[in-house]
Amino acid sequence: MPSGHGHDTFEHTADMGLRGWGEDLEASFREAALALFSLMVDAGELKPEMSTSIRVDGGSLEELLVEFLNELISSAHLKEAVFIDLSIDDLVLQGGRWKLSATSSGILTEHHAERLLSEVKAATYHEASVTEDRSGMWTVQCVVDL
Amino acid sequence: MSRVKVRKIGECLWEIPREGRMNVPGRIYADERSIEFLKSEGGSGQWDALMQVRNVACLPGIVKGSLAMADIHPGYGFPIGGVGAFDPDDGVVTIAGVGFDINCGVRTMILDIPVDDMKSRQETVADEMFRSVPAGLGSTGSLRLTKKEIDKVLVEGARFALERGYGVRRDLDYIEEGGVVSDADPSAVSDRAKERQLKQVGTLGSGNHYLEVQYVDEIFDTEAAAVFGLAADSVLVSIHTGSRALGHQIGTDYQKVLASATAKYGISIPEKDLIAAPIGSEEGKRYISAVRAGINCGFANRQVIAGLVRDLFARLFSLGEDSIRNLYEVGHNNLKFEYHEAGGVKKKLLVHRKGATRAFAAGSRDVPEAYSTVGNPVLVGGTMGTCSYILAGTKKGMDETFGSAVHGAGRLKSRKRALKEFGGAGIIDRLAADGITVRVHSRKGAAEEAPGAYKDVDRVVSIMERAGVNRKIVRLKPLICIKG
Repeated sequence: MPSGHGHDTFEHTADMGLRGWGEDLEASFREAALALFSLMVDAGELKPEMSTSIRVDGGSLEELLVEFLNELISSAHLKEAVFIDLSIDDLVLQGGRWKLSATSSGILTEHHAERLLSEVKAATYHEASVTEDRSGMWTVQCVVDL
Repeated sequence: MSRVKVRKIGECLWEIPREGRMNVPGRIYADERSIEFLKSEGGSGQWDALMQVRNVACLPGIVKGSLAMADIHPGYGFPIGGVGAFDPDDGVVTIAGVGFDINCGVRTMILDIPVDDMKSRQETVADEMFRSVPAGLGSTGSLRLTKKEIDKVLVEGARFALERGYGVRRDLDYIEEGGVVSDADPSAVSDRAKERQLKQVGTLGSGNHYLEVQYVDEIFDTEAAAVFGLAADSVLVSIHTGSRALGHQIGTDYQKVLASATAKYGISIPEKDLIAAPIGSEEGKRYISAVRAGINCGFANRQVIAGLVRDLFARLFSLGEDSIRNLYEVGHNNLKFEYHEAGGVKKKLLVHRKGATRAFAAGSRDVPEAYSTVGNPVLVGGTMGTCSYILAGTKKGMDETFGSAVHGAGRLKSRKRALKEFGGAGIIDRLAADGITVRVHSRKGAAEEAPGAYKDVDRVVSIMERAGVNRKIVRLKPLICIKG
């Protein structure tokens, strides 16, 4: 895996795995979100037309990741948009629960039908993991149902 | 190699013997070649479908066996093609046995037109179908519903669509359960799930969902085909879709509920995908009720699309109401309370079918009267460009599989590999050369769904027939395929 930060998808017979990595937890979560967006839209040079804030929490980092991705899927759908970028505003452990807030920006589906790819039904706990290696690099992943 | 040991116990039937934490044996319908493939697949970085069959066998209250139909491939917790029946007294309901696309299924209608008429206008018909049925990411249906109306959808199923003018009364007699299940509680479904569905009723979706025009290419059982109203060259149109965003959101919402129920009731699960709740617990009852609401949403969605398709063909070919007949509609991601023989007595069981179709044999309850001598038609979709089948269940299938059948060809290659191998415009041109008109909302999606990405559907259905649990009635060849 290259250093710095990045994302990719990995093989799963029926569906698709998403992976994000970065030098801190925030960067790896952001990359996982970008991997999710890459399945839904070929954004190219398009500029965001809307933005929204996202708040999720979870009892573990794995749960936080799955909740985060599911929140992105349903929030974009409700706003009739697909997201193309995201910034993590806060990711903290508070009172025994992980909490994440982010700002996600995207394009409206009705304006860009030709850029849209696949619907994603949900993020699952299948192969969900959040790990830190010896060098302090974080990797997060899970499988999504297409 | 998979660590799971299997042994052959019959024609095209393999067993994972009961050992360790397993409550029942595993049973897989496969021939030598496919069992070797399943064994080699496990542990090679791919998910191990045999291990998933074994894991399901460890769930509390499972009855008779953890079953896998011949289209088995790895899923989440349950394999796709998996069937598991649970005793309501001590058994569990698991989200893995239903999946996120609740009541995904197939509707097939028979059109009273000569196949040559269809072939002579194939390109125009494909364009009209592509325009008439909303599909792909971001698409919205022609219905704009309020949350109150969504509650009606969740209770009334296909009947809601009929009342709104989609389809005809007779359609409902040829839908599994008459197009509506009882005990569906809209209050068990979140506001967010309902909000996501306000514009989604009557949309096809994307991925492996499709609209297809087909004709009868081969008849295996003339008598049974005649009972279904099918003859050589009969023209049919099939719809493959499910409960859309509402179903997906129910799955998402209840992941949390069932995860905490698993801990609360101390349910021992072999892996985290198999989160479950006791059938009789508050959480279990609420999830089952939400799934039943999702099932009705799937029925309504297909009935709206069937109405659109009916209107389109009536206009294009000047057909009257009786010239477009619903053959049948049946789901393949479902939870159903059904009565089956178990341990010598007939018992009410909760049957999970994850990528498996209900195949009730001749004389069973819940089969339309007109089909009572054959059983319900089992609609098995191939993949883009390959044949589909109409099968029927058998008495042996009622005994061995709780009346279940395959649901499709079964994925063989991951979407990523398919994209690498079949990407670009090539696949659509190749199918056109074979006389199959394809229209796609996403070219990338077309490559992911290419025929080479799936198992050979002919072999898959032959395995079930050789095992004696399903029988072939007719084979259908595609003419037009519209992909989401």
